[in-house]
Amino acid sequence: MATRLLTYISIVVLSLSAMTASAAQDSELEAALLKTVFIYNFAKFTRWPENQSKTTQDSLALCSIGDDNITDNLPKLAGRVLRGKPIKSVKISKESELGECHVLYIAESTQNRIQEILQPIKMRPILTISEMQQFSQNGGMIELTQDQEKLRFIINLNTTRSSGLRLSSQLLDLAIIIDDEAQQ
Amino acid sequence: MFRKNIYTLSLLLLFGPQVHALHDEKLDHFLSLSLQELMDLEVTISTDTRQTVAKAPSAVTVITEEDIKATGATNLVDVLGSVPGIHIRANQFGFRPLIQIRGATATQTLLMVNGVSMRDLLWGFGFFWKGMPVSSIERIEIIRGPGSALFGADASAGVINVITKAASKISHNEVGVRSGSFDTDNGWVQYADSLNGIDVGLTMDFYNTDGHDPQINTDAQSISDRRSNTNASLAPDSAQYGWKSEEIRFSAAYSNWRLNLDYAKHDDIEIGLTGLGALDPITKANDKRINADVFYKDSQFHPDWIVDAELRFQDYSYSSGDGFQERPPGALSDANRSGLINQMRSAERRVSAEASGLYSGFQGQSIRLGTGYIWQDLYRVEQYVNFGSGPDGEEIPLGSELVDLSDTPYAFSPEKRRKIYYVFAQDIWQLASDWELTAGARFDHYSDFGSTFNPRLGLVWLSTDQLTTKLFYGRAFRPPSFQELYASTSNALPNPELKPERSETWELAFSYRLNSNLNLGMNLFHYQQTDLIDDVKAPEDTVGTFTNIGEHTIQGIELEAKWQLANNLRISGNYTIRDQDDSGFRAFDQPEQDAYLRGDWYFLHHWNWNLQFNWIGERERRANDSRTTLDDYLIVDTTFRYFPDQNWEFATSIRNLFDEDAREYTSQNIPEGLPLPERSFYAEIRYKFHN
Repeated sequence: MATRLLTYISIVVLSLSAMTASAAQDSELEAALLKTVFIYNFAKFTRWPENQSKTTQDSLALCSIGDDNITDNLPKLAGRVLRGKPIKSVKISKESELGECHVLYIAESTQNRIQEILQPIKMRPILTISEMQQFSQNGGMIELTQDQEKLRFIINLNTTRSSGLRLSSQLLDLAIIIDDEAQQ
Repeated sequence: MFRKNIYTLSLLLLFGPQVHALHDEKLDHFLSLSLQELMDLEVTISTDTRQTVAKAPSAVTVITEEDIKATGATNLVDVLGSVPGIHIRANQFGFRPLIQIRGATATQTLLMVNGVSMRDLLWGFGFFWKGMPVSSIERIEIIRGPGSALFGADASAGVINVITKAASKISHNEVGVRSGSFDTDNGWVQYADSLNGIDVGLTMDFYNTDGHDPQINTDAQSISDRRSNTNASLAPDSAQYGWKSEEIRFSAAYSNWRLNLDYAKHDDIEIGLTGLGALDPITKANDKRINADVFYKDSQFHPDWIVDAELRFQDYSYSSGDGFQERPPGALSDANRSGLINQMRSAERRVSAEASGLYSGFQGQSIRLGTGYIWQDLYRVEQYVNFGSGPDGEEIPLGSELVDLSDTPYAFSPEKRRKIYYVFAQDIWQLASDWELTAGARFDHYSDFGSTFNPRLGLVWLSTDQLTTKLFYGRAFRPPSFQELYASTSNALPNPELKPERSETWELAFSYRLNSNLNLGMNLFHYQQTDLIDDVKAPEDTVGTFTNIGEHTIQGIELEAKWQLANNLRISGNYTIRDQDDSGFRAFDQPEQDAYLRGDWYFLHHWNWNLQFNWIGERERRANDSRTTLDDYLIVDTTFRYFPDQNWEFATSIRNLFDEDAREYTSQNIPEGLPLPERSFYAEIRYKFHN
């Protein structure tokens, strides 16, 4: 019996090892896709204030600014329904277009003008997300980060609070929380 | 036959790999996962080595919905066999899948659904325990080792917590049907919606099966026939193991509040063989469990405090229907014309409340403090018998009509209550960037036996970039059951002075990440039980009395590996070896060694193939048991899953692919052991609505 087990195991291991085919490029794209779905989930657990203008009521605008492989993937979410509204994917080129956004993903490529992007929308109900280091401490709301090989996210409660957004406790439970108010 | 099987297998395995960018399917897959599950996924990014605080991985094994689906499992217990150290041993009585961890008996396992223990007051593991359907399961968390410092009673060898799909976590609506061998049919629905800001969720599952009805050539009655020169045994015949179930779970979430309402009912449960081991073809039992839970969580209660509160209610009742037929007609004497009948009904209620807070005001520490109260009431005990002691204590003559023992001292248990209050504290303390200490303790006070205090300690050291070392210590307890405390049975006398069974566990664990694709783990444990309860017989007594008498030690090694060969191909497996000392409490139904191996291959864009091997080593016999060692067995299951588009999904499974004659351990009353299901086939269709 034990030899039979060994035979099975060796067949499986040998056959499977014959199939080694890995693609580093592929796994990087997969990571981008995973982060995209994180952004989708952030939106899922966020409540926007009721009194918004007509244009923002009909759809949920997922905006992005800058370029990286997440901004390439965000349009794949377009058309899916979140909180009863279809997702609209918007690539922002001018800061003045930010008004319609529910969610704003900010690519690392915009690092040198980050304050110009964040300042004008500071008190508005736009959920800002980025992978930039220290994003959550420099006026951003959700910073995507990594712990070993798993994705984690840091939420700055102070900025989300003052924007009028309400994040679900389910989201906060899973987040690393920064609360400036508490430290003062 | 065997050669041919091997040949087919290799042929299947050698189909070329198809590695492509499978991103749209991947996207759908990711979207179907909860955020929690997404956080459990590993991403391998070579370019980015950002240094963040390395949060120590915990000793928890998490099985996600996707894992379950891949293996074609239809019941919770089909999945648990894949966890190192867990052996699911089917019991002859009702083919109940007892969950045994690390070689201990199933009474040392705490099984919870959404944090509610499935234990009943009298019989330990739920009288008609049948596992639970997987369609409503979001994920399963398994902690090997003691958990009494957090969860209280019964968490001695390990803790299993099943999290069901609840409001706001159900990603899509779905209907599914499954059909297969042994006239098994199963259908389920999951539905989620949001109404005026209130998220609601509903899952329903309906299942019925005729059971695999194994052939039993010799039963307990055959043996007593030989002794007493009767001819009553129903063997050889098959043991009937059919049953039906329906499960409905409703949940709602609004702001900081959550509500769960669960209803689970089993009907027409055939028990096959009685506890003694005699074939019982007449019992059609049923049970019903209702749970209502309210949870409140405030993450912004105070900058340093997150508070949680919960209020729970449970009602659990069962009835043996027209059974049990403890012995067939003709047993003992010719006067026994209608069999020895023992009809049992009982019902119990539980109300519990808990409040806790998580404090993060100290740098590098997170402290949880909590307190709770549990009220348990065995409020109905009814029994009808036509043998044994009557309501007046007089022996009932064989051949009599059923008599009512309810509310007499001769019923199987008195109606009793138990009240428990407890407090607990736990501190997770980041001592240094690479050292984390977890210290916790819980104090429980029981209205019947008094108090118990159970601490635990855990030290995690990120030894190198690749190696994590963990050391754990913990104490745990199992409270005596109402049967042991109060119920006179024909086998043993109760003892209201009983103390809980206790245990102490030491554990050293290493997890080693060879590279981003290969993870290895090793656990060494030493598990010592004391004050074990058994019936002790003085020379002059005819029946024993339950007494805290025993000690037992189990030591073992658990090895685990996970290997991501390519991004669409993964192998994982584990091997356990353990050594039980030769005390009277040695669990002979447990193998010394077992192993599990699993391969998952995602291919041709729309297919997933899973192959799993579950090997249970040979089981020795007691010194006074003349039977030869019970053979080991290897059960191989395979599942193909095909998802042509984002709406449809098809799967087919073959379980026990090589039709192995696998047997579980039984006492000498059933000399040939309990045969497990032969090769069986299942097919499944599900439709997902993406609105």
